[in-house]
Amino acid sequence: MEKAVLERETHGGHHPHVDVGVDGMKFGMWLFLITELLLFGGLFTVYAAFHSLYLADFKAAHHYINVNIGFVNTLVLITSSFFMAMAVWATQTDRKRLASIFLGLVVLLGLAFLFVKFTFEWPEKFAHGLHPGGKEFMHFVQEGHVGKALFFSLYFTMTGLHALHVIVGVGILAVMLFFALKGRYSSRNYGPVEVAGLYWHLVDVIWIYLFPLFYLIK
Amino acid sequence: MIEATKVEKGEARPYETYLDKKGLMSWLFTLDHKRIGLMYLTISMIFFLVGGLFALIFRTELMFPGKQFLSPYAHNVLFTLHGALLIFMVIIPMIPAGFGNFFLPIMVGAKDVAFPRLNLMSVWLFAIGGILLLLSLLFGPIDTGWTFYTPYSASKGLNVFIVSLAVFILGMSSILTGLNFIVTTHKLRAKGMTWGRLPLFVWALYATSIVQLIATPVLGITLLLLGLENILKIGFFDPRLGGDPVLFQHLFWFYSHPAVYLMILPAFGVVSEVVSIHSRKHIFGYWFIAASSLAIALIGFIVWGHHMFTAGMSPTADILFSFLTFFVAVPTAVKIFNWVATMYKGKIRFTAPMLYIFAFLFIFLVGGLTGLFLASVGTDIHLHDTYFVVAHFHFTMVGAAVFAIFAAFFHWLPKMFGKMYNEKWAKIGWFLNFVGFNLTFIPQFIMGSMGMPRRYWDYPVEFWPYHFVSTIGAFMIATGVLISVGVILHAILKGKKAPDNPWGGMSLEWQTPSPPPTENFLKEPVVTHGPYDFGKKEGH
Amino acid sequence: MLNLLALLPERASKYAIDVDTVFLVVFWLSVIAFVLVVGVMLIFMFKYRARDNDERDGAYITHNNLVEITWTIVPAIGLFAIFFLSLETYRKIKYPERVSLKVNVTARQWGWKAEYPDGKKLITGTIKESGRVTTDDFQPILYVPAGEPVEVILTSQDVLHSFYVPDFRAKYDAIPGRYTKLWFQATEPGKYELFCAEYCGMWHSRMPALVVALKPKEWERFQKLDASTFNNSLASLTADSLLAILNLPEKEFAKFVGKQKEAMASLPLHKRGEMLYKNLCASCHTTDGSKSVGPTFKGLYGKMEKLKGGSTVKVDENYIRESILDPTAKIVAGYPPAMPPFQGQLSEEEIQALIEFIKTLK
Ligand code: HEA
Ligand code: HEA
Ligand code: HEC
Ligand code: CUA
Ligand SMILES: [Cu+2]
Repeated sequence: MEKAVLERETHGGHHPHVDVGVDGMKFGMWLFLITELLLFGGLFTVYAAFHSLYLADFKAAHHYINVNIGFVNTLVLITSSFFMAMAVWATQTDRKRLASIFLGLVVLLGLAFLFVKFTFEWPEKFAHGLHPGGKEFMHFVQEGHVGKALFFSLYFTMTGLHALHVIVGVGILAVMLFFALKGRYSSRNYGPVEVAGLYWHLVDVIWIYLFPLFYLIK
Repeated sequence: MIEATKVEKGEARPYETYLDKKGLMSWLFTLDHKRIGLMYLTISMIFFLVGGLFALIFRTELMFPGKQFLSPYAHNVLFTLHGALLIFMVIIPMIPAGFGNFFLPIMVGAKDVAFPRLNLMSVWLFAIGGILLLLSLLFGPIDTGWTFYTPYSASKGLNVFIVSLAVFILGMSSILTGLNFIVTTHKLRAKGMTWGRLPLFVWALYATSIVQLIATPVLGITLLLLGLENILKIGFFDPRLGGDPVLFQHLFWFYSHPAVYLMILPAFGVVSEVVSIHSRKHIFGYWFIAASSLAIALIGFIVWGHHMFTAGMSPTADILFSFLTFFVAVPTAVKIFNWVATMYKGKIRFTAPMLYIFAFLFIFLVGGLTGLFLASVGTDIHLHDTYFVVAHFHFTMVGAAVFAIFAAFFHWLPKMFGKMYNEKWAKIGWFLNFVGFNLTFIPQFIMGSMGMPRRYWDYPVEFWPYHFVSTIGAFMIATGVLISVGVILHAILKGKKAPDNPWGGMSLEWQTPSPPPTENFLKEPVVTHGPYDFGKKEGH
Repeated sequence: MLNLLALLPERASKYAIDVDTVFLVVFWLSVIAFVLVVGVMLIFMFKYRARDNDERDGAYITHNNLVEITWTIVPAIGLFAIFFLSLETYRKIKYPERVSLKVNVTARQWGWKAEYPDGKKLITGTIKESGRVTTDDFQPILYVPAGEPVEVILTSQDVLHSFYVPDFRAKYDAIPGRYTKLWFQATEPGKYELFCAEYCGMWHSRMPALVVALKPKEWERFQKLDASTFNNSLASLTADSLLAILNLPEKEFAKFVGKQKEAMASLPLHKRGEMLYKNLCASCHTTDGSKSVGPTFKGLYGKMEKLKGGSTVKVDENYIRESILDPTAKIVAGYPPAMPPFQGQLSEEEIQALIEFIKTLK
């Protein structure tokens, strides 16, 4: 807390410079991550409610899910999280080139995740009409297997919302990469990288929970 | 404490105030928390008038039984918008995001909030949310009630999607503000500003921010799902697709019960400030008031089920939620007693803000006590969804929270603009508001107990006298509101110059000139005493 | 003491007195708390008001832990007393000692349907006039024996509604896809207003109905009425008319019951179809040519209907029969697949009756 620098001079007219330091930024980000957890927490609640209501349907729906793709994507995200940690370390220790490389890798892996999701995984489900309102989806409803339909609604909303977070994360990290290449971050200014890293780890952690819920459910 | 610079009439300020820069752009892209606070206040005030106007229209419809001039659909739309606009655009943001933004950094002795850019983003999001709410009208105004209960709201289409998106965005704005306040309070306190020297308004905002951070995301996701339900038919809340309407209610109230404390906690903060300063007395039981704010915020999270006693929960849940609800009343009672005790042996001044606080205490007591009728399952089954509930929440939200907003306006107006309001007209407005308020909502308690259901476009004749009086009262409030808003505008535009510290306050905001300089203080503040040390003699 | 307040409506059910007791205890406790707090506040306001030109501060008093603890514990005791008191009432509201009659009640936009175990049915509709409405305009939805515990099993066809009889202090939500329950025991014979207490859209305020508590003798006779007779000619009577019938002298009543049975048997098929239509189909199909949830029945028979996907089909007996039993088999263009299947719910004869009725709508 003491790190906070409070300059107290009057500089006429300009907006006063407030600085809460890296600690302040991290504190802010942690608070934000709590809200993110609660955002997904709402969805996990919905999942839990329907899972207990339609246990058999949920298990049956699992067969439509491609575990291998999910597994690949899990590896991709975990690796990216590792590179993210490395990027923060490299920035803190003034290894600027290395930091840019690591950031670049994170962005690439993020994109790879999205690529797998949106070119293999989702289109396959759409082709089978498993999306809300789709042919197979409505079939489930008419057969009385509403649980299966709800499973896919959940699948699309939860992985969709997660993918949205990946997109935002990739966007933010791309901007970071841009500034990193310009040499803006260093051991004296590593706050933004570290904070962005926290966000990226959260995105990763959420996936770690989503993976068993949809892919490994037994 | 620092000395405020004295300025004679007509003499230019020797410093730049936050109001000096001109031009629309300087407002839209400002990073100054004071300007951002003012923008919040302005937007909220406009929505308050619009939302109030809607109430006047449908109250006129309800003045006599049978159809007067509104179709049932129009009526339903009006009370839905009335509720939604006033809750999401007015009563939740007005004190924290409006007055809080303005005063929290000054009160802790900071130059700004921790993340000024984020702050600008919140006000932008707030404006966008408001605009989206209005835009939704183009796609057919929604008539779901502000609670959006499914499945009625689940198959309405685009308009519900847009409204839920709007509320989602408003939620984001609210989260960012809360986040900013917490970090500011932790990291940017001036030298000597210990936790025990924080004004209680800051404590109240701190508790509010916690609620914002924890509860709002759940509302966000709930409404997002409702929106998707409407355009994609995902089925979570639609029984035809296997969904569960009661699940929606759980998720909705998990936010919306804590949200009632989002509305009242900041108001409590205002009361603590005004009671102490205008009684010229140290606040009684500082730590108990601060701690009870936190207690209310936390207990508030485990009572949401009391809105669902007739909605198909298990008896165990009914009983548990009823039991927990009574817990919230304890810290609230503690607060009320402390405020009254603060007046003991004070030097009470009957200024306009203080009058609003008297009215607040009177009305909130009734609002809170009638909450107990609803909290006990035995009676709530009869009273649920009747005008008794309507009266209960107007007592807490209008009589208490809106009155606190007016108190805040009159209390801080001299500081914000360096102008004084017209005391006489402010008091006339207060009188109309107070009397009109009771005239409007006391009859609603009676007809609610008699079984008058809420959200009715028409009612059997036996309820007529109560509705009639209620409508008269509503027009009386409207007159009072118009006068009060007039007094505020008049003060801002034409008011007499106000001294820097008209009430003799001791917290930091009164130690800086009015209106405050861009940097909040002329010199770096160093705090050497508490915010309420009235009457303290040396040696204490 | 209990009647000091005219606030509460008539007390007409067994547990109403328990509810009112809690209400009044909370009321008086609140009055005491209110008078104490506001009283003290008024005294302070008067006693410690600052006179003109008195610029001094008040006394320096900051806190007193003993006082704080006292005023935390004392209200807490009061509050928990209220909770435990209300718990007992809740138990009574929730659990009847026994039940002598169970009725299924289904809510819809915007009316009610009650089904008795013996097949009697009552249906109410929406009052859409713009004028004033009094209790006399409400249609009866339930006839129940006074003095006997009655259980209502609730559900809804579309959105949430809530079954609310203020005089009984009874309320519970009707939820689509679920069954909920409530019970009451009317203490006195009479007519009691029923409201929908959960917002359900446009005509939420205009789906009221009446619950009629019958004297033992009336109830006995009510039970004697044959279900199909009742459904086809008595269910739509006003409460007063039915009460008048139930109170006919013995002989006339017996004659009345017999005659109605005959009359019913001789009713033409399409007339019976019309009754079924009103009960089952009117919420989605009109007979005047206007579009509702589903297509109108007017001019339906014999016409060529466009289906979703482009094909057309001629509307004949078989098509109608199929539409009723398995509506999703062929979906009419421009409509959602919203019709519930009636497979297993209608007898062959009833389907015939419906078809005959649709045929009459040229
Ligand atoms: C600012 C807003 C606000 C506040 C502060 C409160 C405060 C309280 N509310 Fe209220 N409430 C609403 C806004 C608010 N409410 C809204 C908007 C709704 C309806 C939403 C909708 O459906 O549209 C609602 C609905 C609502 C319900 C659901 C009713 C229903 O739909 O059936 C219930 C039920 O328990 C309830 C209870 C309470 C309680 C126990 C408190 C307590 O916090 C009150 C505590 C205070 C006191 C009790 C007074 C002081 C205490 C003493 C002096 C102690 C001594 C007293 C004795 C021992 C008797 N409220
Ligand atoms: C903070 C929130 C807030 C506020 C301030 C108010 C203020 C008022 N409310 Fe409202 N109310 C709600 C929140 C609020 N309400 C909510 C959440 C609901 C539930 C909705 C639902 O069921 O979904 C509700 C429902 C509600 C009902 C029940 C409707 C029903 O169930 O059928 C009624 C009935 O009397 C009512 C009346 C009033 C009145 C008379 C005022 C008065 O205090 C208003 C005073 C008047 C003004 C402030 C107008 C002044 C302005 C002018 C005279 C014109 C100038 C205008 C312009 C220049 C544009 N309200
Ligand atoms: C919940 C609403 C609902 C109810 C109740 C309902 N229907 Fe329908 N009905 C529809 C809808 C929607 C369609 C059009 C879609 C389709 O073809 O399935 C339809 C179509 C039909 C059709 C085909 C009409 C055409 O134009 O070809 C017939 C015949 C029909 N219904 C008969 C009935 C009968 C008889 C009943 C009562 C026993 C009934 N419906 C009750 C909603 C309903
Ligand atoms: Cu049915 Cu309200
Ligand atoms: Cu609540």
